[in-house]
Amino acid sequence: MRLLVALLAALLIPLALPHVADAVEISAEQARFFETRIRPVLAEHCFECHGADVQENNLRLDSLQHMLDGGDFGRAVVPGEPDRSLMLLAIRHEDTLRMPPESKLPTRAIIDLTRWVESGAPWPDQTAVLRQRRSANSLAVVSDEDRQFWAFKGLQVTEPPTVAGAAWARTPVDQFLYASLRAERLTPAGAADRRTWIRRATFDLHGVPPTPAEASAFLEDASPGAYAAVIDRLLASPRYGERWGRHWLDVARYADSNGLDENICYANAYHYRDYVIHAFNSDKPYDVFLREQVAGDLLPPAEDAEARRLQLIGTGFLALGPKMLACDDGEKMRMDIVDEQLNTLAQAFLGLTVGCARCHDHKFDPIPMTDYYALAGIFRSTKTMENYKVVAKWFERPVPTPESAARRKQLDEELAALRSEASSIEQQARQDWLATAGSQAGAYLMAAAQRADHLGRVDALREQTSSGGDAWLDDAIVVEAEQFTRGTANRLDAGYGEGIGVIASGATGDAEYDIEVPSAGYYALASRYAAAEARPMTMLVNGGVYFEQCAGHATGGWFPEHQRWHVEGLVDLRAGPQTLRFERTTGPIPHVDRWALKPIKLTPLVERPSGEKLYQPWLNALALKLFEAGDQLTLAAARRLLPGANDALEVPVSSRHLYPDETIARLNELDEKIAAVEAAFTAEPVAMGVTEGPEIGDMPLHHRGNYFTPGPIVQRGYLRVLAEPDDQQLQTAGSGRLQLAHWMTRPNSRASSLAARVMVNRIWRWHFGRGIVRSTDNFGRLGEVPSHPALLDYLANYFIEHAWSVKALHRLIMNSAAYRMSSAYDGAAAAVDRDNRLLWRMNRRRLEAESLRDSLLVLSGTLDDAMGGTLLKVENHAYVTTSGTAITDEYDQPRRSVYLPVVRSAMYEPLATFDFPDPAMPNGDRPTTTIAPQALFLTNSQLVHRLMGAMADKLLASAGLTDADRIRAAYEQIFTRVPSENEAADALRFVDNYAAAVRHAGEESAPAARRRAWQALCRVLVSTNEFIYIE
Amino acid sequence: MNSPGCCQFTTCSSRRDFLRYSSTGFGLLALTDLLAKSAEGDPATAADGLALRPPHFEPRARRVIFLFMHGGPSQVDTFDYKPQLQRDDGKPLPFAKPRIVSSPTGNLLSSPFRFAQHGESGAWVSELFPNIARHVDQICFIHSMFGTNSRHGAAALELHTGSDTFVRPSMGSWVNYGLGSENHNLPGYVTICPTLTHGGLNNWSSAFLPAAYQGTPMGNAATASADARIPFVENHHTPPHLQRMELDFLSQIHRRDASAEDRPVDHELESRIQSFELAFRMQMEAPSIQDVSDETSATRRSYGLDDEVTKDFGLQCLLARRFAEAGVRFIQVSHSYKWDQHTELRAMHRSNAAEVDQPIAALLKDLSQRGLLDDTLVLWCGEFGRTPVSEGNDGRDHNPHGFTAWMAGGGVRPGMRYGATDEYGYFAAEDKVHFHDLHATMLHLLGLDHERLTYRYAGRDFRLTDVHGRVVEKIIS
Repeated sequence: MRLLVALLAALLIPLALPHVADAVEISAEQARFFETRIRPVLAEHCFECHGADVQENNLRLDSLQHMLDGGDFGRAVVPGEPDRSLMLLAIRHEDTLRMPPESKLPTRAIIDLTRWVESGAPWPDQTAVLRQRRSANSLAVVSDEDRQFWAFKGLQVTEPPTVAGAAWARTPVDQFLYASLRAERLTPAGAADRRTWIRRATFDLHGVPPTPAEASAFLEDASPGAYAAVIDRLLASPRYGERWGRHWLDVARYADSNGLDENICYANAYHYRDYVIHAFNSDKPYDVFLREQVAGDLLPPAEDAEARRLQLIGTGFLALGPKMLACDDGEKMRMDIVDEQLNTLAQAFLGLTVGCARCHDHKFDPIPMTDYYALAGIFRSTKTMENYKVVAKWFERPVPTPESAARRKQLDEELAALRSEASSIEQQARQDWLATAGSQAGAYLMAAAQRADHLGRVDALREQTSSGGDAWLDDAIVVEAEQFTRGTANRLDAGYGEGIGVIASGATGDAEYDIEVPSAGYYALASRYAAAEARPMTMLVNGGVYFEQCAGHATGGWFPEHQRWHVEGLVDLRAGPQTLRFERTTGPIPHVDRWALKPIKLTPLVERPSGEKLYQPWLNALALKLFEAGDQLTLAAARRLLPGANDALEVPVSSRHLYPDETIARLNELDEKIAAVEAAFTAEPVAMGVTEGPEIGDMPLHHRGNYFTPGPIVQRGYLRVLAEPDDQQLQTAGSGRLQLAHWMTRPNSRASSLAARVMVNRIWRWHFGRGIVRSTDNFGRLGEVPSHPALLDYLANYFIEHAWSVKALHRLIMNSAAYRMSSAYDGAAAAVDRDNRLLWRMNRRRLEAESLRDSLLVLSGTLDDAMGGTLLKVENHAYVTTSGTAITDEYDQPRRSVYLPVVRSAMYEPLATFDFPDPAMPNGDRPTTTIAPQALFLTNSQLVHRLMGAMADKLLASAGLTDADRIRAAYEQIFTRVPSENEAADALRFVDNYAAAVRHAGEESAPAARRRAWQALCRVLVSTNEFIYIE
Repeated sequence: MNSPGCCQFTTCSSRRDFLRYSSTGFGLLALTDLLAKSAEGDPATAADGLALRPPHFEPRARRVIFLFMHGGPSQVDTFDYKPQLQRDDGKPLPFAKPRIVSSPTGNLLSSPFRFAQHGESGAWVSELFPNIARHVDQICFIHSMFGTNSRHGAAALELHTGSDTFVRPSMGSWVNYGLGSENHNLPGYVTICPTLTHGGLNNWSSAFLPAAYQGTPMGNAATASADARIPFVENHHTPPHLQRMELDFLSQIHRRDASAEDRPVDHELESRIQSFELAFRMQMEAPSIQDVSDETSATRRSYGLDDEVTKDFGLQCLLARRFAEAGVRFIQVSHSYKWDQHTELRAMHRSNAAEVDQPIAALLKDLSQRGLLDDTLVLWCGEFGRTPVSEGNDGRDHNPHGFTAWMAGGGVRPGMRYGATDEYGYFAAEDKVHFHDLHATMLHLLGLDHERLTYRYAGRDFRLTDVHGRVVEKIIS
């Protein structure tokens, strides 16, 4: 027994070598095996391209260290794990990576190399490498030191500092700011005047100027709560959600198309946009808002139907990112989508750039690759897409409203009634037709017998045409196919039609010919065509189907040399004008060169049946059977062939044209009604979003982000740097999204601390133009550090204590003395703090793109205050851009800018010009640029011209006003103030001079010139810095 | 791998930090930083953000004209002559096709077009390009181009931005970011009649680079080049003398505001004021560039403006030369989405070539005669090539694995053929050149080191070439 064991052990030596993790010393046997069986193979087949001199794909295989380092595609060898060793995958020649490229290694060598890797890749004299590898553990660890970085710590409870002279302070926010200013011997700027403040607050919360009435009400309100009342009024208005929802949409990289390659319409994305606006207006707690966007579908369903609907729509956040929907590599598409979701999620909620860790451990933040793939596993287990084809389809779900559900029920019933009526009419009509056809048995037989005889003549003609020569065409009516009278077919004169001219088609095709037939009688119809594959067409004469397999053979190719004549059969024509139609509805048509109608002179065997509406395809089929039966035709056989008898002849699927005219009309009418009801169905709301995927599970790490080079399986989980000691392992039958959502908002955790900091900083940024952490979307090491860390944590704690209420935060911030500061310049302060990091004055801010457009609409008096819904006229999944077109009409609406479509890769020019961000990635910190195209837009665009024309009309319409009153009104509306005397005088002079200049140029009447002058004045005033910058 | 990795960070760059975080944006940047160096203090440069910046080293080219052949012209029917393909027509490809393809393909399909050698250099050119063939001694053919994506959109983005996965700044934006503009009355980056699909705007957008560097589209693929205009550059409602009155009044208001306040010149406000004057000048200058009536009839004829077939692309090429002369840094002309011959290769490649051959030859000749070719880099390229195997019996599928691009002027070696595909023209085989390498080389010719031309965004320093790119030294003269 012992002997046997020893023998087995000896036999198995290469296999049973200790795993590298257990021991790193190399036995003599291992060394011998390596030197005799492994090194020679490597030297002979590999070193030439992967050795000391040449390193194809940056890979060297002449030492274990080099193998472990790997090349462009990842690690060549994973000791002990053959299936993850790229070198072994390559030598098997099973996938695209095949090495050596020219020929496969001998099987013996492949087995040896596999065993060698299995046994831990022992390489003599390189035990140090193995030892080092074992201790380094190759995958980065997250240490407690990493967790000490400010952003990853739990929130500190910070008390507002009390500093002497802080009477200025109105809120704890001010106490923090004041202390920092005093530390630099700075003093805060004085309060802005009330007019400036209400303008600031109104633009801030609504994105438009205050009305003169709102302004004067505030200016006259001497009560101590005047400021707070304005803030409350602004927050209570639905305009607030439209303005602040748009801020979040920047972060959510919201758009109505996928952009990038085949630009397809996300026609249902707008539900998410409306959801966001609603969330801000209803002050949805931010933790709930976050959870709904990550896992709304998995949260306990809200009892209220509308609230449940919103939970489902929230997950649109994950779905509406930019995507390459045309990628031949479906797995790449899948991982790119996961990557996009992961990046967006981490940046939007946690201010972290995890995307770096797709290919390697994050170089600056403690985010190892394993953390990336732990999260990626969650999203790979989530269903975002229906498929990954070209062009791929995304997942959507119905989100019925109570009204839409009721409406659907009603439509269902209507539809059922209409379909049932149509079906019974159709059934009856078919029966009637079959009965009539049956009663015409005699006529069918007579006609068929005659035609059967004629088939013999056709046969003869066929022989004539196939033996070559065109002599038989002498007495025929010949029509060039491309000379059609009507139709969708294409004429080709080159290529397929070189020298002869043919017709062809796209997906389907048809061509109609009006011809003149000199005398009634039978004609053989022949067609000359080329087809590499059978493309049978239907041929109709004067609207009646004659042949269903016309030009239906393959002739060997598509080119002129493949053109052949083919005799289709006989047609029975009357004299005079006729319409011949050829059509194919199931695919493209063959390449037809010519048609011919060859008269066939016959002595009728029987009288032709007259006045009977015989169904030609049946007649042809019947005739063929009679012809084939020849002399053996018996009465019994004939009877079997008769229409209606034993279904000997197929009832055509599409038989409507056989019914009486009034039946056809009624059926068509019902069809239209059904189509209308079906169209109404599509009005049922459907939303983009995600759901649990069909395959749920952990995924392997991808070396260098390439799925061709999978590494070890990584258990799904969270970012370890934010983990708590008592964090449960992510163990779930689901994807883990729900757990992830809860993990990010779990009270008193590092993750929720960061989430709260990131959001309060965003809000601060949107109020002041700059964040406490300036890099709003990056709280990592390469981001900025907070200018006021204690204030940041104070705000985050306040936020959480106030149930994550965004509006509570607005009140805290906007009621502060800081928010009331003037933006006035102070040279001494600027010398100390040029960038105003410590907030010694208010930052001046340029109007954002939407504010500019919305304000112009307000001033013009044409703004439509309607909320929600979509302006897109493009259908879901349809192209929003082609090489030469993009949507335009949709933008030409007087709706608030937040409701305009956001088309990736073809952004609306007026908004894009004013720094509307490319919705490619989260952006919580829009840049402000000053470029000449902005000036061009104001001076030259039709939009500004039209809106300022409307404003001029409004000013001029008030008959009781003097021009001075009008100037004053314009100033109040545009600048929230009255003009100085000089200003008013200048403006009046400008209007007069301008009107005179217009008159001088001729053409225009005095009133028209006057209108143009006022229009010009308005345009100049909205072009000023005073209008475009909020102090 | 000796490239520095995608996350090679510099600790701080005050210029970039201003760009990123100064809420006052470009105006302040240009004045406080750039103009402080140039000492001229011209606020116009501040307003358009395109102040001239010195290259990293002595440039060979000062501008680029990119002739984009959208759709994917077939290398084996144009510039990459493969005798073995001609011989083995109809035989199966003797090696494996790529794992991922766009459409099913059959056996080898020889080129239906005759090839001949031309010039001193003896370059092979098919009968499709009789005019360009006369210029082969000025051209450097790169026969070993390859990309990584087999679909138009992704491949076009890879060509224009270096990424087939993410939205990234386009190469023209990088060039303008690196060098600034020589003419402040015109955009620094113009793309004439670009396609709105297959990446659309993202093919000329500046992505996260400041907006001043984005390409200015003139019309689109559906616009006749004669009707292509810079957005908003034309005023259809107010004649210039009235517009002048408005601008003067605007300026008067601004001046009064400035004098009313007791503080130093506010550069942000000042640069915005200047932007109106700049816009007005642009409005005057741009149309004059587009009005080609001052060209001689011989020039107009040479570009094919008198011929229905060539006039549209011919005008694009002529405009490209005029923009180049006027100091526009990067000019793209597009022969939009015409080269995608899955079917009708014979007929359509012929008609496509007929539209561009004469205009391109005229452009080369014209640039050369005016001495502009020396410092103008002309690049001819599609988003990919086509397979040497057939799709149907008169078509070829997309092929990103091996195709031909060519360059002329701007410091590239004339009369050169660089790299090669395999014997059938399917895969790049020798001296392979990826889009990243093409970009690195283009930047190098412009005096920019592709590893140093970085921009910090979202915590990372981005490059046109990501972590890749190798300057193809051998093609530099």
